[in-house]
Amino acid sequence: MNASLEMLQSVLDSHGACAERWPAERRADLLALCEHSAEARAARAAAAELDALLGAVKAPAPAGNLAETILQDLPPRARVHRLPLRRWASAAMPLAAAAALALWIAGPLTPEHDPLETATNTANRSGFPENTLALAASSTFAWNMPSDAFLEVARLDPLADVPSFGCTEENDLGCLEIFPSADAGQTRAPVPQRKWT
Amino acid sequence: MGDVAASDQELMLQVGTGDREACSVLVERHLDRILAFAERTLGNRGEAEEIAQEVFTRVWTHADRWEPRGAKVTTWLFRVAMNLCLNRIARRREAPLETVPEPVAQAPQPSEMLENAELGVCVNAALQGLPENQRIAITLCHYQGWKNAEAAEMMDLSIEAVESLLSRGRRGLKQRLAAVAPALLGGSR
Repeated sequence: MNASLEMLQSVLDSHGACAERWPAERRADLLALCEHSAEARAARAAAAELDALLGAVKAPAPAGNLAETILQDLPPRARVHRLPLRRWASAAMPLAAAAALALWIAGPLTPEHDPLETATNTANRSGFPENTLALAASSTFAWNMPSDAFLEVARLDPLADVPSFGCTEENDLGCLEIFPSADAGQTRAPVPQRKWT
Repeated sequence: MGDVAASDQELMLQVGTGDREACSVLVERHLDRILAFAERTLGNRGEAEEIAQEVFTRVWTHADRWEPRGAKVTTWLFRVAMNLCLNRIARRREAPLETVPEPVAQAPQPSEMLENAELGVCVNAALQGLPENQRIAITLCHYQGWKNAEAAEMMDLSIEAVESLLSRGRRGLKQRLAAVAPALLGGSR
Protein backbone atom coordinates (compact mmCIF):
# COMPACT_ATOMS: atom_id res chain seq x y z
CA MET A 1 0.00 0.00 0.00
CA ASN A 2 1.64 3.22 -1.13
CA ALA A 3 -0.84 5.76 0.25
CA SER A 4 -0.79 6.76 3.88
CA LEU A 5 -3.65 7.95 6.03
CA GLU A 6 -2.01 11.38 6.21
CA MET A 7 -1.92 11.57 2.44
CA LEU A 8 -5.57 10.61 2.26
CA GLN A 9 -6.50 13.26 4.83
CA SER A 10 -4.57 15.88 2.90
CA VAL A 11 -6.38 14.96 -0.32
CA LEU A 12 -9.75 14.87 1.44
CA ASP A 13 -9.09 18.31 2.93
CA SER A 14 -8.28 19.91 -0.39
CA HIS A 15 -10.41 17.91 -2.84
CA GLY A 16 -13.28 16.51 -0.81
CA ALA A 17 -14.56 12.95 -0.68
CA CYS A 18 -15.40 12.53 -4.36
CA ALA A 19 -12.67 10.33 -5.81
CA GLU A 20 -13.15 11.84 -9.26
CA ARG A 21 -11.69 15.06 -7.95
CA TRP A 22 -8.63 13.42 -6.45
CA PRO A 23 -5.30 13.63 -8.25
CA ALA A 24 -5.34 10.91 -10.89
CA GLU A 25 -1.88 9.63 -10.06
CA ARG A 26 -2.83 8.93 -6.43
CA ARG A 27 -6.44 7.91 -6.89
CA ALA A 28 -5.95 4.14 -7.13
CA ASP A 29 -3.72 3.97 -4.06
CA LEU A 30 -6.06 6.13 -2.02
CA LEU A 31 -9.09 4.07 -2.98
CA ALA A 32 -7.20 0.90 -2.06
CA LEU A 33 -6.38 2.44 1.31
CA CYS A 34 -10.05 3.24 1.90
CA GLU A 35 -10.95 -0.35 1.05
CA HIS A 36 -8.57 -1.81 3.58
CA SER A 37 -8.56 0.72 6.41
CA ALA A 38 -11.56 1.51 8.59
CA GLU A 39 -9.86 4.71 9.69
CA ALA A 40 -9.48 5.80 6.09
CA ARG A 41 -13.13 5.04 5.41
CA ALA A 42 -14.14 7.11 8.44
CA ALA A 43 -12.05 10.03 7.25
CA ARG A 44 -13.62 9.81 3.81
CA ALA A 45 -17.10 9.63 5.31
CA ALA A 46 -16.44 12.78 7.33
CA ALA A 47 -15.28 14.55 4.20
CA ALA A 48 -18.38 13.34 2.36
CA GLU A 49 -20.52 14.76 5.13
CA LEU A 50 -18.96 18.16 4.71
CA ASP A 51 -19.42 17.90 0.94
CA ALA A 52 -23.08 17.17 1.51
CA LEU A 53 -23.41 20.19 3.80
CA LEU A 54 -21.78 22.37 1.17
CA GLY A 55 -24.26 20.97 -1.32
CA ALA A 56 -27.13 21.97 0.91
CA VAL A 57 -26.52 25.64 0.22
CA LYS A 58 -29.14 26.87 -2.20
CA ALA A 59 -27.75 27.51 -5.65
CA PRO A 60 -27.95 31.16 -6.70
CA ALA A 61 -30.88 31.88 -8.97
CA PRO A 62 -30.19 32.20 -12.68
CA ALA A 63 -29.53 35.62 -14.08
CA GLY A 64 -33.03 36.08 -15.52
CA ASN A 65 -33.27 39.28 -17.52
CA LEU A 66 -29.96 40.60 -16.23
CA ALA A 67 -28.38 39.70 -19.57
CA GLU A 68 -30.73 42.09 -21.38
CA THR A 69 -29.96 44.84 -18.91
CA ILE A 70 -26.23 44.31 -19.35
CA LEU A 71 -26.45 44.40 -23.14
CA GLN A 72 -28.69 47.46 -23.14
CA ASP A 73 -26.38 49.34 -20.81
CA LEU A 74 -23.17 48.65 -22.70
CA PRO A 75 -21.39 51.97 -23.09
CA PRO A 76 -20.46 53.31 -26.52
CA ARG A 77 -16.97 52.23 -27.25
CA ALA A 78 -14.38 54.62 -28.59
CA ARG A 79 -12.65 53.08 -31.58
CA VAL A 80 -9.22 54.21 -30.56
CA HIS A 81 -6.23 51.95 -30.98
CA ARG A 82 -4.61 53.03 -27.80
CA LEU A 83 -2.00 50.35 -27.46
CA PRO A 84 -0.12 50.85 -30.74
CA LEU A 85 -0.18 54.62 -30.26
CA ARG A 86 1.17 54.28 -26.76
CA ARG A 87 3.87 51.93 -27.98
CA TRP A 88 4.93 54.38 -30.67
CA ALA A 89 4.90 57.28 -28.26
CA SER A 90 6.96 55.43 -25.71
CA ALA A 91 9.61 54.68 -28.33
CA ALA A 92 9.50 58.01 -30.16
CA MET A 93 9.82 60.34 -27.21
CA PRO A 94 13.26 59.20 -26.00
CA LEU A 95 14.47 58.98 -29.59
CA ALA A 96 13.35 62.53 -30.28
CA ALA A 97 15.03 63.77 -27.12
CA ALA A 98 18.26 61.98 -28.01
CA ALA A 99 18.17 63.39 -31.56
CA ALA A 100 17.62 66.93 -30.28
CA LEU A 101 20.56 66.59 -27.88
CA ALA A 102 22.80 65.19 -30.61
CA LEU A 103 21.90 68.05 -32.97
CA TRP A 104 22.53 70.61 -30.27
CA ILE A 105 25.93 69.13 -29.39
CA ALA A 106 27.03 68.69 -32.98
CA GLY A 107 25.63 72.12 -33.88
CA PRO A 108 27.04 74.28 -36.68
CA LEU A 109 30.81 73.85 -36.52
CA THR A 110 31.77 77.46 -37.06
CA PRO A 111 35.31 78.37 -36.06
CA GLU A 112 35.18 81.47 -33.96
CA HIS A 113 38.96 81.93 -33.99
CA ASP A 114 41.60 81.30 -36.55
CA PRO A 115 42.92 77.84 -35.68
CA LEU A 116 46.44 78.61 -36.85
CA GLU A 117 46.68 81.86 -34.88
CA THR A 118 45.35 80.17 -31.75
CA ALA A 119 47.79 77.31 -32.09
CA THR A 120 50.71 79.65 -32.58
CA ASN A 121 49.82 81.75 -29.55
CA THR A 122 49.38 78.66 -27.42
CA ALA A 123 52.72 77.26 -28.52
CA ASN A 124 54.47 80.53 -27.83
CA ARG A 125 52.95 80.78 -24.36
CA SER A 126 54.08 77.26 -23.54
CA GLY A 127 57.60 77.76 -24.81
CA PHE A 128 57.42 74.83 -27.16
CA PRO A 129 58.52 74.88 -30.76
CA GLU A 130 55.71 76.29 -32.84
CA ASN A 131 55.30 73.26 -35.06
CA THR A 132 55.08 70.82 -32.16
CA LEU A 133 51.71 71.99 -30.93
CA ALA A 134 50.25 73.61 -33.98
CA LEU A 135 48.36 70.60 -35.22
CA ALA A 136 47.09 69.51 -31.81
CA ALA A 137 46.12 73.01 -30.80
CA SER A 138 44.27 73.66 -33.99
CA SER A 139 42.12 70.59 -33.50
CA THR A 140 41.68 71.02 -29.78
CA PHE A 141 41.09 74.66 -29.06
CA ALA A 142 39.91 76.35 -32.18
CA TRP A 143 36.30 75.12 -32.47
CA ASN A 144 33.57 76.72 -30.50
CA MET A 145 31.02 73.96 -29.80
CA PRO A 146 27.49 74.33 -28.44
CA SER A 147 28.51 72.10 -25.57
CA ASP A 148 30.99 74.78 -24.49
CA ALA A 149 27.98 76.20 -22.69
CA PHE A 150 28.67 73.57 -20.05
CA LEU A 151 32.10 75.11 -19.48
CA GLU A 152 30.64 78.59 -19.25
CA VAL A 153 28.34 77.46 -16.48
CA ALA A 154 31.45 76.46 -14.52
CA ARG A 155 33.11 79.77 -15.49
CA LEU A 156 35.66 78.03 -17.65
CA ASP A 157 36.84 79.56 -20.89
CA PRO A 158 37.50 76.81 -23.37
CA LEU A 159 40.29 78.83 -24.92
CA ALA A 160 41.92 80.58 -21.96
CA ASP A 161 41.58 78.00 -19.22
CA VAL A 162 43.55 75.21 -20.75
CA PRO A 163 44.81 72.85 -18.09
CA SER A 164 48.52 73.46 -17.78
CA PHE A 165 49.65 69.99 -17.01
CA GLY A 166 52.51 68.50 -18.93
CA CYS A 167 56.23 68.90 -19.01
CA THR A 168 57.64 72.21 -17.95
CA GLU A 169 61.08 73.75 -18.10
CA GLU A 170 61.79 72.69 -14.52
CA ASN A 171 61.04 69.11 -15.55
CA ASP A 172 59.62 68.42 -12.13
CA LEU A 173 56.96 66.09 -13.50
CA GLY A 174 59.30 63.29 -14.41
CA CYS A 175 59.08 63.84 -18.16
CA LEU A 176 61.62 62.53 -20.56
CA GLU A 177 64.07 65.16 -21.67
CA ILE A 178 63.39 65.80 -25.33
CA PHE A 179 66.28 68.26 -25.58
CA PRO A 180 69.03 66.82 -23.37
CA SER A 181 71.05 69.40 -21.49
CA ALA A 182 74.79 69.65 -21.39
CA ASP A 183 75.12 67.37 -18.40
CA ALA A 184 73.15 64.61 -20.05
CA GLY A 185 74.61 61.19 -19.56
CA GLN A 186 75.27 61.84 -15.87
CA THR A 187 73.50 59.84 -13.22
CA ARG A 188 69.79 60.32 -13.70
CA ALA A 189 68.10 61.95 -10.74
CA PRO A 190 65.27 59.97 -9.12
CA VAL A 191 61.94 60.75 -10.66
CA PRO A 192 60.00 63.00 -8.33
CA GLN A 193 56.39 62.32 -7.58
CA ARG A 194 53.98 63.70 -10.13
CA LYS A 195 52.14 66.82 -9.21
CA TRP A 196 49.53 68.79 -11.07
CA THR A 197 50.27 72.46 -11.35
CA MET B 1 -23.09 32.18 -36.24
CA GLY B 2 -22.65 28.85 -38.02
CA ASP B 3 -23.49 25.35 -36.84
CA VAL B 4 -20.32 25.14 -34.81
CA ALA B 5 -20.42 27.45 -31.83
CA ALA B 6 -17.70 30.02 -31.87
CA SER B 7 -15.05 29.61 -29.22
CA ASP B 8 -14.71 32.18 -26.47
CA GLN B 9 -11.48 33.38 -28.06
CA GLU B 10 -13.18 33.97 -31.39
CA LEU B 11 -16.03 35.76 -29.68
CA MET B 12 -13.61 37.99 -27.79
CA LEU B 13 -11.92 38.96 -31.03
CA GLN B 14 -15.28 39.78 -32.56
CA VAL B 15 -16.30 41.80 -29.51
CA GLY B 16 -13.02 43.65 -29.97
CA THR B 17 -14.27 44.85 -33.35
CA GLY B 18 -17.47 46.15 -31.75
CA ASP B 19 -19.67 43.13 -32.49
CA ARG B 20 -22.59 43.35 -30.04
CA GLU B 21 -23.98 39.99 -31.16
CA ALA B 22 -20.73 38.28 -30.14
CA CYS B 23 -20.87 40.08 -26.80
CA SER B 24 -24.43 38.84 -26.35
CA VAL B 25 -23.29 35.23 -26.91
CA LEU B 26 -20.50 35.64 -24.34
CA VAL B 27 -22.95 37.08 -21.82
CA GLU B 28 -25.44 34.26 -22.37
CA ARG B 29 -22.68 31.68 -22.07
CA HIS B 30 -21.02 32.89 -18.88
CA LEU B 31 -23.37 35.19 -17.00
CA ASP B 32 -24.97 32.57 -14.75
CA ARG B 33 -21.66 31.24 -13.50
CA ILE B 34 -20.15 34.67 -12.98
CA LEU B 35 -23.26 35.77 -11.13
CA ALA B 36 -23.30 32.66 -8.95
CA PHE B 37 -19.61 33.08 -8.18
CA ALA B 38 -20.11 36.72 -7.17
CA GLU B 39 -23.19 35.89 -5.10
CA ARG B 40 -21.42 33.12 -3.20
CA THR B 41 -18.37 35.30 -2.68
CA LEU B 42 -20.25 38.41 -1.57
CA GLY B 43 -23.31 36.79 -0.01
CA ASN B 44 -25.50 39.44 -1.57
CA ARG B 45 -27.53 39.16 -4.77
CA GLY B 46 -27.75 42.86 -5.56
CA GLU B 47 -24.02 43.39 -5.30
CA ALA B 48 -23.42 40.21 -7.29
CA GLU B 49 -25.56 41.55 -10.15
CA GLU B 50 -23.59 44.79 -10.14
CA ILE B 51 -20.35 42.81 -10.28
CA ALA B 52 -21.60 40.64 -13.14
CA GLN B 53 -22.65 43.73 -15.09
CA GLU B 54 -19.27 45.33 -14.48
CA VAL B 55 -17.45 42.19 -15.66
CA PHE B 56 -19.27 42.18 -19.01
CA THR B 57 -18.95 45.93 -19.40
CA ARG B 58 -15.21 45.40 -19.11
CA VAL B 59 -15.37 42.62 -21.67
CA TRP B 60 -17.03 45.09 -24.03
CA THR B 61 -14.66 47.97 -23.39
CA HIS B 62 -11.42 45.96 -23.15
CA ALA B 63 -11.94 43.26 -25.76
CA ASP B 64 -9.97 45.18 -28.40
CA ARG B 65 -6.94 44.84 -26.15
CA TRP B 66 -7.52 41.15 -25.48
CA GLU B 67 -4.38 39.13 -26.09
CA PRO B 68 -4.95 35.42 -25.47
CA ARG B 69 -1.33 34.49 -24.57
CA GLY B 70 -2.52 30.99 -23.71
CA ALA B 71 -5.05 32.12 -21.11
CA LYS B 72 -8.66 31.08 -21.42
CA VAL B 73 -11.38 33.70 -21.62
CA THR B 74 -13.10 32.12 -18.64
CA THR B 75 -9.92 32.47 -16.59
CA TRP B 76 -9.86 36.17 -17.42
CA LEU B 77 -13.59 36.60 -16.69
CA PHE B 78 -13.35 34.94 -13.30
CA ARG B 79 -10.23 36.84 -12.40
CA VAL B 80 -11.94 40.12 -13.20
CA ALA B 81 -14.97 39.02 -11.19
CA MET B 82 -12.80 37.95 -8.29
CA ASN B 83 -10.90 41.24 -8.22
CA LEU B 84 -14.13 43.23 -8.33
CA CYS B 85 -15.53 41.13 -5.47
CA LEU B 86 -12.37 41.62 -3.41
CA ASN B 87 -12.54 45.37 -4.03
CA ARG B 88 -16.14 45.34 -2.88
CA ILE B 89 -15.23 43.41 0.28
CA ALA B 90 -12.36 45.80 0.99
CA ARG B 91 -14.71 48.76 0.59
CA ARG B 92 -17.14 47.17 3.03
CA ARG B 93 -14.41 47.05 5.64
CA GLU B 94 -13.65 50.73 5.15
CA ALA B 95 -17.28 51.86 5.04
CA PRO B 96 -19.21 52.75 8.19
CA LEU B 97 -21.30 49.80 9.33
CA GLU B 98 -24.68 51.38 8.58
CA THR B 99 -23.80 51.83 4.88
CA VAL B 100 -22.72 48.22 4.33
CA PRO B 101 -25.34 46.09 2.55
CA GLU B 102 -26.53 43.25 4.68
CA PRO B 103 -25.55 39.79 3.49
CA VAL B 104 -28.46 37.68 2.42
CA ALA B 105 -27.42 34.79 4.62
CA GLN B 106 -27.82 35.99 8.18
CA ALA B 107 -26.18 33.69 10.69
CA PRO B 108 -29.05 32.21 12.66
CA GLN B 109 -28.78 31.34 16.31
CA PRO B 110 -28.09 27.64 17.02
CA SER B 111 -31.54 27.04 18.43
CA GLU B 112 -33.16 28.65 15.39
CA MET B 113 -31.00 26.57 13.12
CA LEU B 114 -32.17 23.27 14.47
CA GLU B 115 -35.75 24.44 14.58
CA ASN B 116 -36.01 25.79 11.08
CA ALA B 117 -33.68 23.14 9.72
CA GLU B 118 -32.56 25.43 6.98
CA LEU B 119 -29.34 23.66 6.60
CA GLY B 120 -28.26 25.60 3.57
CA VAL B 121 -28.71 28.90 5.37
CA CYS B 122 -26.51 27.72 8.23
CA VAL B 123 -23.81 26.44 5.92
CA ASN B 124 -23.95 29.57 3.82
CA ALA B 125 -23.55 31.67 6.94
CA ALA B 126 -20.53 29.59 7.91
CA LEU B 127 -19.13 30.05 4.41
CA GLN B 128 -19.59 33.79 4.61
CA GLY B 129 -17.65 33.76 7.86
CA LEU B 130 -14.57 32.32 6.19
CA PRO B 131 -11.73 34.55 5.01
CA GLU B 132 -12.57 35.62 1.46
CA ASN B 133 -9.68 33.82 -0.25
CA GLN B 134 -10.74 30.52 1.34
CA ARG B 135 -14.34 31.20 0.36
CA ILE B 136 -13.31 31.98 -3.21
CA ALA B 137 -11.25 28.78 -3.46
CA ILE B 138 -14.17 26.68 -2.18
CA THR B 139 -16.59 28.48 -4.50
CA LEU B 140 -14.42 27.94 -7.56
CA CYS B 141 -13.53 24.31 -6.86
CA HIS B 142 -16.53 22.92 -5.06
CA TYR B 143 -19.43 24.93 -6.43
CA GLN B 144 -18.16 25.88 -9.86
CA GLY B 145 -16.36 22.61 -10.46
CA TRP B 146 -13.08 24.07 -11.65
CA LYS B 147 -10.02 21.93 -11.19
CA ASN B 148 -7.54 23.09 -8.60
CA ALA B 149 -5.09 24.03 -11.35
CA GLU B 150 -7.72 26.15 -13.11
CA ALA B 151 -8.69 27.84 -9.85
CA ALA B 152 -5.02 28.51 -9.21
CA GLU B 153 -4.75 30.27 -12.56
CA MET B 154 -7.86 32.33 -11.88
CA MET B 155 -6.63 33.31 -8.44
CA ASP B 156 -3.09 33.90 -9.71
CA LEU B 157 -1.73 31.48 -7.12
CA SER B 158 0.18 28.21 -7.16
CA ILE B 159 -1.80 24.97 -7.07
CA GLU B 160 -0.31 24.25 -3.66
CA ALA B 161 -1.52 27.60 -2.35
CA VAL B 162 -5.05 26.91 -3.62
CA GLU B 163 -5.02 23.44 -2.05
CA SER B 164 -3.89 25.00 1.20
CA LEU B 165 -6.77 27.50 1.01
CA LEU B 166 -9.23 24.69 0.31
CA SER B 167 -7.89 22.64 3.16
CA ARG B 168 -8.02 25.50 5.64
CA GLY B 169 -11.42 26.55 4.36
CA ARG B 170 -12.93 23.10 4.82
CA ARG B 171 -11.42 22.77 8.28
CA GLY B 172 -12.70 26.24 9.17
CA LEU B 173 -16.17 25.31 7.95
CA LYS B 174 -16.17 22.14 10.03
CA GLN B 175 -15.17 24.08 13.13
CA ARG B 176 -17.82 26.76 12.57
CA LEU B 177 -20.57 24.27 11.92
CA ALA B 178 -19.52 22.08 14.82
CA ALA B 179 -19.57 25.10 17.11
CA VAL B 180 -23.08 26.24 16.19
CA ALA B 181 -24.72 22.93 15.31
CA PRO B 182 -22.86 19.80 16.34
CA ALA B 183 -25.78 17.71 15.11
CA LEU B 184 -25.01 18.78 11.57
CA LEU B 185 -21.63 17.12 11.74
CA GLY B 186 -22.61 14.06 13.69
CA GLY B 187 -20.51 11.59 11.84
CA SER B 188 -17.41 13.70 11.52
CA ARG B 189 -16.22 13.60 15.10
